[in-house]
Amino acid sequence: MAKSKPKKAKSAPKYRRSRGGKATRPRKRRRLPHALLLDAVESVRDYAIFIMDTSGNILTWNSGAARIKGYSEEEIVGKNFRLFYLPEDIARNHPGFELKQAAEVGRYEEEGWRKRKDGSIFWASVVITKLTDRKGALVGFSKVTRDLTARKVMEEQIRASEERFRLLVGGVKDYAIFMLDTEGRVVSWNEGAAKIKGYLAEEIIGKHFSVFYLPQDAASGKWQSELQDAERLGRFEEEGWRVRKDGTQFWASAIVTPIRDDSGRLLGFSKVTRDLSERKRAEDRLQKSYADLERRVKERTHELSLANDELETRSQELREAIRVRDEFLSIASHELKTPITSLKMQLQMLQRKTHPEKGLLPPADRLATGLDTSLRQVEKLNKLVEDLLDVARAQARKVFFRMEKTDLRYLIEDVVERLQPQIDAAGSRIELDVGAVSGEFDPFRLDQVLVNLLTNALKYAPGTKIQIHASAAENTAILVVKDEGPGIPADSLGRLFERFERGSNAENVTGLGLGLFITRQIVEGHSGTIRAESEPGHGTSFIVRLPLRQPMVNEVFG
Amino acid sequence: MSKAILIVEDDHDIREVISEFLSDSGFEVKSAENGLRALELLRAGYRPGLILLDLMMPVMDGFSFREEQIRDPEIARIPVVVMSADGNISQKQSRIGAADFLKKPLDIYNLIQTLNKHLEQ
Repeated sequence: MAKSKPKKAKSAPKYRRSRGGKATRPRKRRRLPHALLLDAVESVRDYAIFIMDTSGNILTWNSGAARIKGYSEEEIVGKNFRLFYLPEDIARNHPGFELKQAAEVGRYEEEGWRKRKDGSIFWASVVITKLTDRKGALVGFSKVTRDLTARKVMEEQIRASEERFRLLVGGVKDYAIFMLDTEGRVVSWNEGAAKIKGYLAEEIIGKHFSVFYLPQDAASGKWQSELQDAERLGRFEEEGWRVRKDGTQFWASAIVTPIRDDSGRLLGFSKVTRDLSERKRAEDRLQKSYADLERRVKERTHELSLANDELETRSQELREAIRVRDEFLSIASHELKTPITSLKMQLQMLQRKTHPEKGLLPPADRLATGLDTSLRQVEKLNKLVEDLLDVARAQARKVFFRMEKTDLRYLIEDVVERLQPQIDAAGSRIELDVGAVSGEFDPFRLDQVLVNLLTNALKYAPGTKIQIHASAAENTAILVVKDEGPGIPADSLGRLFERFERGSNAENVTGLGLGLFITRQIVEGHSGTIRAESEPGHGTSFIVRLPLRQPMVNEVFG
Repeated sequence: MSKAILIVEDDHDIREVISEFLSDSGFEVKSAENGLRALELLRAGYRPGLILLDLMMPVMDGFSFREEQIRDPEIARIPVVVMSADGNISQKQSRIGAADFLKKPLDIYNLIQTLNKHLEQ
């Protein structure tokens, strides 16, 4: 640039002088605007402007031409403009073609590569205009050339970049990347789109993208709201089911982005879709196996909780059984040792009063009392041992029944008569309501049942009326022993027939607590049932049902 | 110290035979068939030198009697010898703070020795 300035300064006056030399003075004033124009042309630096004769020989040269092409006016004037062309253009006589075109049409325009003096090339925008005289005959050409190399390079770069981008997008196989116009019609299609959606570019371009949606989504206009959301929010993203060309469905992740020009006008949308079916399936499998796991943990927890409850129940039962056993041992010990204590001391007393060496004996009445007391203790002991043996036998399933024709009424009257002293001692009275009932029973065992039920009533309801009822109906004997005592609390009724159970109000009652247990064993040995009904304050009824005929004789029970 | 003994025992025959034996042996004897009856005698002013106490009794057992006795400063210091058929009697004796214990069946010779031991103190 610094070099070209002095050249321009030198050439400009020279040119003016030569032109001015030919001009006449009187015409000078009239031609003044032309001279100014020439000055202006000469000083244009961004355009090479020059005149050629009909053959393309250069006649004039301006500073822009000198700057762009590198030749000075002296060097180039008189030379042919072919100098500016590349050898291949000269070879095909492109300069001649240009002049011919300009001569025929009046004007020729092109962009193309041209050569500078130093051999370097530049991208030129060229306009050649035909120059004619007043009669229209061709006298030459003007040529205006601009150096557009910078623009060309930039355009090339953009074009290459766009091409690279197009290739990149086109070649992406795992993503469907395509463009939609503002209405949602497909305007571009990449390889990934073809692979994922199954359509070739020529099949789908121009079609509406709603074909990618499930029929119900397409019908409900889901696609439309997606485009609207994308336009409004600048982006729309979702995962959902989409349909391939062959009708199969896949789980897609889709991103829709609006595309706008510089002024913000909507041009269309880009859409990027991924097939996440495999991920979705994996997620579903994971979720399912998690749900399975959760369900199994719940089931197992429930089972464990049930097992734990059962264990807890069993443990309570066991603790209760141990408590009952300990209590029984304590009671049995007390009950057995009381008559033994009495017996032992009675005998020791008699022994103490007996001195054979001195001929001393206890007084006769003392001896008689001692013997009576001792015998009574032995009877008590015998009864207790019998009870224990009954239980032991029942445990060992060794109690046999001897069933025979038995008159229940006779049995009841006999028991009442035998127990009369105890009934009197308790201050109770018996009311009988007994019909003629006879059946196949074991009379000795049934006797034991009656004794147990009656003594039970005397123990727990002393001083009250005791009703005994017996009847027969539908091959079943019914026996009821009802007292008017304090009754049994509901929570104790169920345990009544268990071994070693004694009424909770049994403070003043002695015994092993085996009576009702043995009674139940005997009734069940007759294929019968026994139950108790009670209302606290209104007495207790024991109800025994016995079949009149036994299904089997000598039945074993336990 | 008087040789008065209060027997608290629910079994009639045992009560009778102990009373007879202790009377023969020179003791003053009163008896009660349960704890409540014994408390009544004590609260009426009777002050024996020792109480011979059964544990398992109806109406008021030996444990409840002992609680009531200890609560009443007038009678709390009267020594108590417990008697029981229970195998764990020694534990129960210490639990209720008795002076001594006798296992049933009782032995009359052993009974005399034990009573004398605690009456002398």
